[in-house]
Amino acid sequence: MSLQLIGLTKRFGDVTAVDGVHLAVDQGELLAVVGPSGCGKTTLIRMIAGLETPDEGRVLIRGRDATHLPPERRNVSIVFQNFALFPQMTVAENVAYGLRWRRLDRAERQRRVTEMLEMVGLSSLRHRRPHQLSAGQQQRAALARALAPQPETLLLDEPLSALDADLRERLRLEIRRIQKELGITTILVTHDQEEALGIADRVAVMNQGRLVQVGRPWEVYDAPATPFVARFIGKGTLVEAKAGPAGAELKGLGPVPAGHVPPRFRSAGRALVLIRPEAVRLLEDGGPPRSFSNPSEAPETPERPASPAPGLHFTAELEDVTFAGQAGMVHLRAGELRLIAFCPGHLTARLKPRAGSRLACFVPYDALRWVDPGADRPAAGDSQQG
Amino acid sequence: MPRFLFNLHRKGAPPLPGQHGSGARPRPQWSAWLLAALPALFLAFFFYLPILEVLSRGFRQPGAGFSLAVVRGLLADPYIQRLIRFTSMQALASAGLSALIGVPLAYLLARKEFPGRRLASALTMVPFVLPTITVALGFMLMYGTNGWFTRAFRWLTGSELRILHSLWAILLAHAFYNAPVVARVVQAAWEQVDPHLEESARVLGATPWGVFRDVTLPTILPAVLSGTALAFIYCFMSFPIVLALGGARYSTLEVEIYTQVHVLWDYETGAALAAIQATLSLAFVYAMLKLQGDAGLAGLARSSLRRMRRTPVWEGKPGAGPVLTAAFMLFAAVFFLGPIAAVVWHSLRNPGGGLGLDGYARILSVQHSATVGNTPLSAVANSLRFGAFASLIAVALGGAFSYSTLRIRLLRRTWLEILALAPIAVSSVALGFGALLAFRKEPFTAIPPDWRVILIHAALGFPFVVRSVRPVLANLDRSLGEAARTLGAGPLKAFCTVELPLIAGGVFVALTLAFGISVSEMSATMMLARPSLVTMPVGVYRFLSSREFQAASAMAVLLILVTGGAFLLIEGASRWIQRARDSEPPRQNRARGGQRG
Repeated sequence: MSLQLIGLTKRFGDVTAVDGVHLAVDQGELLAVVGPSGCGKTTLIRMIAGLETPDEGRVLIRGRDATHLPPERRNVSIVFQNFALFPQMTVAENVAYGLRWRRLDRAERQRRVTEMLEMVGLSSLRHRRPHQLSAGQQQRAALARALAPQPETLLLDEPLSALDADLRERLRLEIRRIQKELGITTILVTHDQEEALGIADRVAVMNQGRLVQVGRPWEVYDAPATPFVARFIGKGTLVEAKAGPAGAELKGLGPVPAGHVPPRFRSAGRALVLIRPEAVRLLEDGGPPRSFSNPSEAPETPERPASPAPGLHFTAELEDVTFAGQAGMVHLRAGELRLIAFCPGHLTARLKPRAGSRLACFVPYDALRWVDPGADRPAAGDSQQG
Repeated sequence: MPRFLFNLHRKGAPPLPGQHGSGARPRPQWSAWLLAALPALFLAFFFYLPILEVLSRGFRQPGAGFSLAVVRGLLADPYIQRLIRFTSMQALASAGLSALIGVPLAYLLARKEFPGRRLASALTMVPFVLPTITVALGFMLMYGTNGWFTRAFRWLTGSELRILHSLWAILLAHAFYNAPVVARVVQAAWEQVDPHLEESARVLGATPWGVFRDVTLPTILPAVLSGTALAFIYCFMSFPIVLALGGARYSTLEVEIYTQVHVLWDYETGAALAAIQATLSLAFVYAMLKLQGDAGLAGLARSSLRRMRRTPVWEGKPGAGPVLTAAFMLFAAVFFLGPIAAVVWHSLRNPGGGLGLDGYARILSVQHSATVGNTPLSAVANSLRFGAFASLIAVALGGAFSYSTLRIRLLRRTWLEILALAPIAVSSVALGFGALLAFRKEPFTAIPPDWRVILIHAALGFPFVVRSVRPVLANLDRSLGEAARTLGAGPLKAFCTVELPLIAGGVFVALTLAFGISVSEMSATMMLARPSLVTMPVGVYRFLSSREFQAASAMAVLLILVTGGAFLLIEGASRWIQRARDSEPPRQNRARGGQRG
């Protein structure tokens, strides 16, 4: 266990920024902490770095209690959102800064600086000052500076949010490559779920100072533990449902037989059902159930009869179609309910003129994700939310 | 105890695992608190204690406890009533005049381009360091019966101009001093007016005057008001100008306090007057801060990356505009440079006629001068020594204050900042008098007389240090220091290697201001020091009182050179540091330089 947080709590006046967080991070793991802005994720890593003192709880680094160690004695590096490069120093001086306070001879120090700059591809810019670098280069320099002292843990505080989309994607992969290469335990804080799901080994979703779900990216996406996670991670629609021993009734979409409702929701009475865009299939209206949206059942081969699994059939009004490269997004309205469906990019042109018409839709029962509507509320006995 | 209080926020919360674990008690940051405690103790002993001494003495009857009898008796006195009325009225008129000159000056500096604009802009800083007594001397030499301006006026119009022994002399001298203050505040606001606002108004069909009235004026008005209010407060507390130019006819509260204490030896009346004065000026400052807090419009309208282009003064349609601009520039040149020129000229003019350096020989002599009360050279030496020590103390403590109030969350309080800025709001005559009273008690008697002056000068410079260091420090990205900490530097190392180099400019400005304030300070020094402890401004005043204009002028020129020189030196040094910091590495620098050339 490389890093362990035990009941970490931090309050600023009346606001509880971080509320009893327990978390364990393995050696060499990349953990992404995601959440909306103001959810406490930055405060959390600032406590790990020693830049804030927790009101309660402990921080263990390699099993040692580091709760009250000053930042310079934790061997934890941080890359800030704005990179925080020292403007009065060159790139090489910035990278060398962390080595200055360690007992290293000149040659060794130079060697490490060169090595780091090579790793991030900035060797030719070592004598530039930060303001002479592009945003992407600044990001790399900040990463090199953070890694130079060989920290046990690397903290990345929204490291890519100051960059534009294209660069962000490229650097995201590069960070992952370097992190793997060095095998360094890393915590990445971000509000960008795509970033988190894209490169993390595990994702921790945070809301209002609490950790609401921790798991591998696909788990968090596929089985959100609370309505908040369902809304925050990925796209989709949450549908209210009444559940009973005989099955459930999805508001506006129809019944679901008892066999397809998880047992614990059958007794709960109420449930929320998450419908992801990829779960919704569009069928040619009136005709046999041919799918628009699933490439394997593409209408180019209309002869092939679709034999869908049991699921919800309903019609919806086609409101709008947006095109975004490889995939398009179809906005649907079924009564009061708004749904989103994916469709292959090349089909958007065929669907677009049909805006306003009605389409037959199909959602397999096993693609429904059941969420406890009460899961966001804090545990009983805690008056935090009143 | 605090943990217990905090826990009240979570009623009935079950204890979390690890909550009662080891090491959960925050370790107090002793060094940080020490940093906060030093300036607090300093201000308490060398500003608040003397002020309280004055106030408590003023609101007390001899032999009795707290009483308003003395103050009430004074307030009922028609002479004192007239005095307070006059003090307020002259301050109001002076502030109005300052605004009248300062606002066009701000317009010129913010919107027009002309040769020497940068220099002129830098010179608006001078009033902070130009000793008031030299301005008073300059006015006597310029507008006196035989002053060059009076003679030029007589030669041009044939009529006699009587400025010197009228109220106008005081008002003009105050305007000389305060118009640049107004200009500086207004210029800053004017430069930040978003050009897009004005352009939008023009596109929507507004005339230039309409644009000014509807867009520009509302944006700069808060700055005009706060600049004028600042001028009012300075004029309300002005001492050397009224003392030197007011003569027997015009006296203000400040001068009256000085007269009561130093001429009539009536400490009771002096303290009561100082109490009245301090109460009034603190009320004015409070009202001003309140007004500034309410006038939030300027802050809302400044978020453009584009800057308005300055138009050269000679550009534009011929008409009343350029003529007015030229006339104003001529007026400003004569008004601001005339008195200084007169002082320089007179320092070289021998009483018997002809030019010479006799005046300078006089002020650098080591012979005891009955006029000065000591050797003139000792005045020069004292000023330099006081300035050096006072500015170092003020910068160290003001810096510590700024740092701790920004970085310790519990100390991030507006009222703390107001408490630290209070020395601006209290007259230095009252402070000097308070120190005189307070330092007669144990254990302060142990402080040597010259160190009393130094400490009071440091207290007077303290708020200016805070004003110039704190914004720089506040703008400094906190994550820089934090990054340094996580990279292994301790708090002190992180500060010295990362943060200090970045705020060096602000520290240099603070040093200049504190040095300039100490060197040009006269009021508190005259209240506090024995007659034999002389500084340069006091020397100027004593020469002036005995009508030795040449020696007074020579001393004034030296004083201007010292304060102005320090100002230019540090201004230059901070620019140089700025340039060195921003400059590219030598190799690329040359390549770029080649391209530019």
